[in-house]
Amino acid sequence: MAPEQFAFPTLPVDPVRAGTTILVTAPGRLGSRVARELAVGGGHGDGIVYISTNNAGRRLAEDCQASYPDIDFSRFGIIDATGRAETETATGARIESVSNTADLTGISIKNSILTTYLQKKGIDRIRSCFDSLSMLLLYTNFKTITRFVHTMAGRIAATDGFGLFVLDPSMHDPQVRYTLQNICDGGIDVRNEQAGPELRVEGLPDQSRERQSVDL
Amino acid sequence: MGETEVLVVDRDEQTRLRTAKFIRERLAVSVLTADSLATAKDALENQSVDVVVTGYTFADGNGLELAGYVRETAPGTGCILYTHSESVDTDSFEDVVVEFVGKESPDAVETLAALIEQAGPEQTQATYPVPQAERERLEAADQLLAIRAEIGPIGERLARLAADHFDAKGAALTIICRDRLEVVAGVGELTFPTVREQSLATHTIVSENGVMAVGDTRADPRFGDTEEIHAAGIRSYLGATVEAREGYAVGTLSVYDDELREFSEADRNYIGELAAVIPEILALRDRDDSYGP
Repeated sequence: MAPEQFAFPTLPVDPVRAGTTILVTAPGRLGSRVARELAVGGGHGDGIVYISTNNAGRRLAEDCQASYPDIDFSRFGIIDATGRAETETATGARIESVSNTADLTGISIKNSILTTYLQKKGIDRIRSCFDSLSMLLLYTNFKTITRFVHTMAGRIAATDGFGLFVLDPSMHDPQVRYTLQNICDGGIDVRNEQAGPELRVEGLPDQSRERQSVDL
Repeated sequence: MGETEVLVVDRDEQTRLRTAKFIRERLAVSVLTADSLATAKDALENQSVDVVVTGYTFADGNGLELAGYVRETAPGTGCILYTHSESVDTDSFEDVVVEFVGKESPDAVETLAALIEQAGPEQTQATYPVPQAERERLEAADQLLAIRAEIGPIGERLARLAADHFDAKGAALTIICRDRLEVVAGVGELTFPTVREQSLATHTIVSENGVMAVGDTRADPRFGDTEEIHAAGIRSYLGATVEAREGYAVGTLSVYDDELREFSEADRNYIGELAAVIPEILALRDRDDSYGP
């Protein structure tokens, strides 16, 4: 039997099959907001591993607590990749850290450790969110990032998970976005329009191709 | 394409043999074993390996050192660190990027098997995008290589036409194999890297509409730090995907130059038209074969 799809009840994105990876492209902090909604929003009950390069672990956990009061932190793992190693939190989230943002090998290993931690609790449906690749690209060359995204996407496909990679395309050559989206199964492009943010799903089967407004 | 080859490296004999036996039986693949970095490197020198599954602690180094060696010498090979998670120190190995399975994980061996299946033929740890259905694509590439003697003279004429049309320093017809490019035909002065990871052709076959133009290789994020391209003197590039049977992107027809260039839509169309000659010839050849001798 095929594993159950991953659904996003708070956004105009139809469910995707298990093993799917998506590149979320958006300017500034909009990408993080949409990725959080895809990973955390909607009370879906899945496990979450959130790799954070911008906000230290404790701060991210507290932000999520404020935005999603019903969040179950026993299902929430964070990798603090800021280098600040703020791993103590009263929220109950488990936070791991790496010594600096360039330590992609460390992020890969901590990701597996958190996945195992959730699996030991009987949680095997996991949403992974890498927020953001733009920050990782400031510290590491493009080829290594490509290998990193490939490796992480391979694991997500092999373990029937769901993965998000956030990129601010305004910070990079168009080929960076094109190459990374090629490795992922599809993309979600988000823009700030006058009436508010709009998103469009790209490259995924059975999804609307229209721009749709989102309430974040 | 041959059978998937896995190298299991662990200093503990019991673990090594148990892991090898499990992988061999579960995945029906060929498995080699080694008990140290030195013996692992020997094995890698003598044999093409798809996936390395390594422990962490060895008398002569650690598993991340071995992964670093694999990245240098066999870029298409996947690396999986299979050990107890508390033992790993990633300092000095930040950009090696390996897959990791903790031995304490509840379904460690199942995860290991799933990752080997992913990392092998699909090359999920590559530093470049790998086309979908890579296994089938590689088989189509092998089939084309088998008739390279027939394709070679046609490739030579196409490469010459392309080089003349674009007044370029070099042109080539290549076939992209798992780890390297096979040059079926080439004209002109410039040589180019034939390691897949370093090549421009690798990105051409996943480009929009199958054509890639690079006006300045130094300014492009995909190639800016690929010294082998710059050492070869390639400053600009225009290439089109060559498709074989069933539309698999098996290779490229391309032109190179040692100067900055700008390529127009008409240029892209032209190289695309030339590259489309190969599948047309293959189709005619297939039709002739079907008429019998």
